[in-house]
Amino acid sequence: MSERRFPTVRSLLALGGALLLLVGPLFLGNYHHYILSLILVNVIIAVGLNLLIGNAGQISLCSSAFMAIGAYTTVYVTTETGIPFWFSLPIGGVAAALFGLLLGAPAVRVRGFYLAVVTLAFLEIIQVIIREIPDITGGVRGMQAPRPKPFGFSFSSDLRFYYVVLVMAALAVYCARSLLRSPVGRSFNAVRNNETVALAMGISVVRVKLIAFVISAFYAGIGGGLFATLVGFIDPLEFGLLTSIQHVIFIVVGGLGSIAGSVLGAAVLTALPELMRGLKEYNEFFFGGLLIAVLIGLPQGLAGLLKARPAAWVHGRRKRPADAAGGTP
Amino acid sequence: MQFDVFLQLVFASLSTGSIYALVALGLVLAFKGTGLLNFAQGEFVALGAYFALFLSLYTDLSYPLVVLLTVLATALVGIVIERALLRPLIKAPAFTVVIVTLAIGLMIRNALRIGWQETVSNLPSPFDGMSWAIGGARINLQYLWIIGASLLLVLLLVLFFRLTRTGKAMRAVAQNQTAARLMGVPVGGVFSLTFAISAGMGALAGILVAPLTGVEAQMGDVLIKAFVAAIIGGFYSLPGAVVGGLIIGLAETFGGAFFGGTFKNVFAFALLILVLLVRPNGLFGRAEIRRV
Repeated sequence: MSERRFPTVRSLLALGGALLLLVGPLFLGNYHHYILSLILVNVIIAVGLNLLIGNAGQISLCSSAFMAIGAYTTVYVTTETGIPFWFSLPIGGVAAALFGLLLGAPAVRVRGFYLAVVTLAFLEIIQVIIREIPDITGGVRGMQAPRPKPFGFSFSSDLRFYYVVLVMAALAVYCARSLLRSPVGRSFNAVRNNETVALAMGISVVRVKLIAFVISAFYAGIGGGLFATLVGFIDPLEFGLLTSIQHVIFIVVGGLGSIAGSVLGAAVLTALPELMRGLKEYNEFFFGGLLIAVLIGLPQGLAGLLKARPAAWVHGRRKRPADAAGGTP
Repeated sequence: MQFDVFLQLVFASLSTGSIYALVALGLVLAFKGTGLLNFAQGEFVALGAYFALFLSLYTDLSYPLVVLLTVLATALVGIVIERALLRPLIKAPAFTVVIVTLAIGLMIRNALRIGWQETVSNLPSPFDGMSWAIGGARINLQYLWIIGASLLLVLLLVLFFRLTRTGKAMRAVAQNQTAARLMGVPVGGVFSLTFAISAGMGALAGILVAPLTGVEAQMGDVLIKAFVAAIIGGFYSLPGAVVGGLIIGLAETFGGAFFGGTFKNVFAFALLILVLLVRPNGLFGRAEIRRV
């Protein structure tokens, strides 16, 4: 990686993008700040989910459940105990991570279709729990999530909160990048490609899978806490299977196992439905069709398209296995 | 607990269990035959209920004809989906199959919701308002019809697999696709037939349960319970799916009666986690052998 001494096209693009994200919103209205923040929240969740699905190769249909745990914990802790947002948000993330560990215990025993079903059941359990303890969660009627006022500094304007989310998203992407370059991140890919071989190489497959579940849950929990604070109101419908599928769509369309893909997918597919509000009724139809088309026609997603540019193969880039999420069929 | 209440609960749970069993059977059948787990199976239930509703509202066909036409129509949908979208996925990783079938289900559900704007509609049944007095209890005849029809279908299925040439071909494909193909079994045709039967069973479950629950796009949610039933039964076992479905029906109804209805929906999942921890391959399953 370090052979590049001059600023490459890539790093210039990244710099430009960062500047645009920092300065651009100053010239936009409240609605756009809201949409941008929503995109960034989804980026956080997508990056976390992609670590689990794209890198570690574990099917998960319950990212929205972890998001819900993070959201409800953050809001409950903030409103009931007065603990400031800066602490309640990580508490929400940790709560989600603990549930990730809880789900991981039975989930690492199964693979493939079984795992999909187990995560689906977990999602359903969380839904029932949210609905049945209205004292804490507000039940089906939902609950208000107030904007925090850290240091007497109000985040009531969407612009200020946007910068909070931006910092979080940048942190999320940075941590994921570092993780993937660490031995743990490498072992994610090993487990996905072939569990038996990974085991033979001395990788504790169960431990690696658990780590992946916990990290992904933590990301979703943080995303959930930010989401609740951004939107200002949460109810169980917000965290159903449809939301989970949407998260999967982000990473499938963006590119499995690719951080850039997660960012791209979340950005495009959060913005698109907002642009086509008139066709809201057909949303599921559109997403379903898109998902099928991409999985069959473009298995590497948008990130795969980016990689196809000439510079990549001139440099002799390694090939990525096409079945990014299918180590063990 | 009084005897009449007990009887009432038994019949209620057996009929709910039969519905779960039918959906689970459809799942397991397709899974054994093609290796694809169909996450859109629940939508066949909804599709069946909607077809039947449409036919009974806009035509004067008799109930048996409505049932027959609905099952055939849904089977046709199953064939189209299998041929167009699922056949290319036979060798795809589990993730792809899960997501594509989920997407298909999503689209069907969306189409039903757009095509039929009413939220809940009632499907008439010849057994409306009829009941059977036994041991001081009055049992809704629809319960008996659900149990009877499911039993009949399972019996027909067993006979079909044991006695007919087509049934034997399907069993051969489930055991070993390559060997079956070498023996001259048209594997592609068997796949289509498998999905036709599977979709038809889902539709039948929809017709049977709709008079009790009403017709709505959410009917497909029964799928999760059917999954649990299939896993309890071992996923590769047809009798296992039936037993699993009945176990969940009993656990839910009696659990709800004893512990209150609030956590009724949790019992199935509690059972699932228990089974996975104690017997990961289900009651009727064999341990998975992994080849390297």
